[in-house]
Amino acid sequence: MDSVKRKPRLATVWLGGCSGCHMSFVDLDERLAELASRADLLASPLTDYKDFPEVDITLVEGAVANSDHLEHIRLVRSRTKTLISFGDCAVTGNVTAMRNSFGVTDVLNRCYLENSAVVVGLPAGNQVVPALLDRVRPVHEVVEVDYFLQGCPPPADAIYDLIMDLLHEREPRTDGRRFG
Amino acid sequence: MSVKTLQIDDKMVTGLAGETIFSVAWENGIHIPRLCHVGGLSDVGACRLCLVEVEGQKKLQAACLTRVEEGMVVRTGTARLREHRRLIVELLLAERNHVCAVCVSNGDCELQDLAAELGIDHVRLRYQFPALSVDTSHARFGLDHNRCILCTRCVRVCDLVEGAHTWDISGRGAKAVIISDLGEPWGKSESCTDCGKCVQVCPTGALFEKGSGVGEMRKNRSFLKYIVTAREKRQWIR
Amino acid sequence: MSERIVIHPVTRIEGHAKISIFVDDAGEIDSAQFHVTEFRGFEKICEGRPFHEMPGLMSRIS
Repeated sequence: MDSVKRKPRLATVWLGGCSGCHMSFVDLDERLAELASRADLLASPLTDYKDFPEVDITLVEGAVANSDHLEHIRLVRSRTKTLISFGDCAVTGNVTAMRNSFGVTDVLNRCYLENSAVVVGLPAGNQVVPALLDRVRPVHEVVEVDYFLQGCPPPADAIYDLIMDLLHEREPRTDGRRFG
Repeated sequence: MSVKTLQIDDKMVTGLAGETIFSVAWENGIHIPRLCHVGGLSDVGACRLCLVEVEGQKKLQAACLTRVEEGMVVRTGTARLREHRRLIVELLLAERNHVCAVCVSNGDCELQDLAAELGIDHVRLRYQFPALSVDTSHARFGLDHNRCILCTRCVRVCDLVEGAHTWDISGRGAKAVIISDLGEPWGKSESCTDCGKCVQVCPTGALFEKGSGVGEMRKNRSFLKYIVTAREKRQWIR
Repeated sequence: MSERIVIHPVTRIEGHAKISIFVDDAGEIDSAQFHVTEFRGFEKICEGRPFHEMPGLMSRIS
């Protein structure tokens, strides 16, 4: 007895980003219905999941900025067939990485000591709040990335084209893509 | 002036003795990418993007600096050149802080356009994230060193066209930086005439007009054509 | 037996968060904390930058 070919499993993740890329994803508008018929969105900030599952395609938004991101992206990579750096923060570091030229100490001091009025003090972490990495990194500096989708955010059309190309097992078209 | 006949890609073209490969290609609609060349200014071969293959030469030649010779065979679009150009642009993007998303020249930037043209979707090199400043001391303009690619167009336009030579380069290698006068804030420069030519020729958002928001700086890059034409036709005012 | 339960991740919010629930020996909830685990340092990033770039830059907070 042949098993029915299951629908491709899709996931999205956001790390150190603003979720703007996900908003652009949602801008697929009525094409989301088409996507839903072609793939299952198993894990995403838009869904409720606690453990990242095995998936075929993951869109990773945001740069790797703290220890939680580092741990999570490695897990995501190990459970994903095709990983896509989604948006400029994931591809280049972008705005999230602008703190690199200042250094973690200066950034934390400015935000939690100089600029604080009510509670003045660096966050202790409580073993729950993750430590900031010394250097914010684009995703491909940490794990291997299969495709890159630049833009801040990437236009909905580009997101649609890429996902459809992958679902149809075509080599993704790349013309017209720009940073910014 | 003698005429030279040469081949660029699959086209037979002619140029005057003393003309560069870049100039002849341009006149014949053959596109060679560039960042430091501007028509009307001297060529310096700083960006290395216009490198072309010349038959008989092992090394790549800068089209903007190489004079055409009779019987030359030039190739501008080989795989070797494409990889070369990709690497140069990736080096530029990794060297300083080019954050297109929040730049005043987003959408009107020659570096951004070039990255898109070359199909660069990520930088394979390690980003340097240097700590660089923004000089907003001038009343009308600003200079953001994070976006500067050291093409020296500003240096050359200020020296050759305006005649003030306010800009120059200080330091070497990764420490090289554009300075005004002897390293003073631009607003304190005694030579600057506030003409804004440097702002117009700058290929990125490094030099900008104050008051520009993200994506609002739109440059008039062809203004030099008027000045060059006026010079050639001797349209002096006095 | 007192313990701490950490809910991670908190989903369907804009951003990242965790919740810590402290349960005392009697099994009653003693206290709970909501941790915002996202921080990028916009207060520092904007330093030295021209005022007119702020709308474009700050819109990347969220």
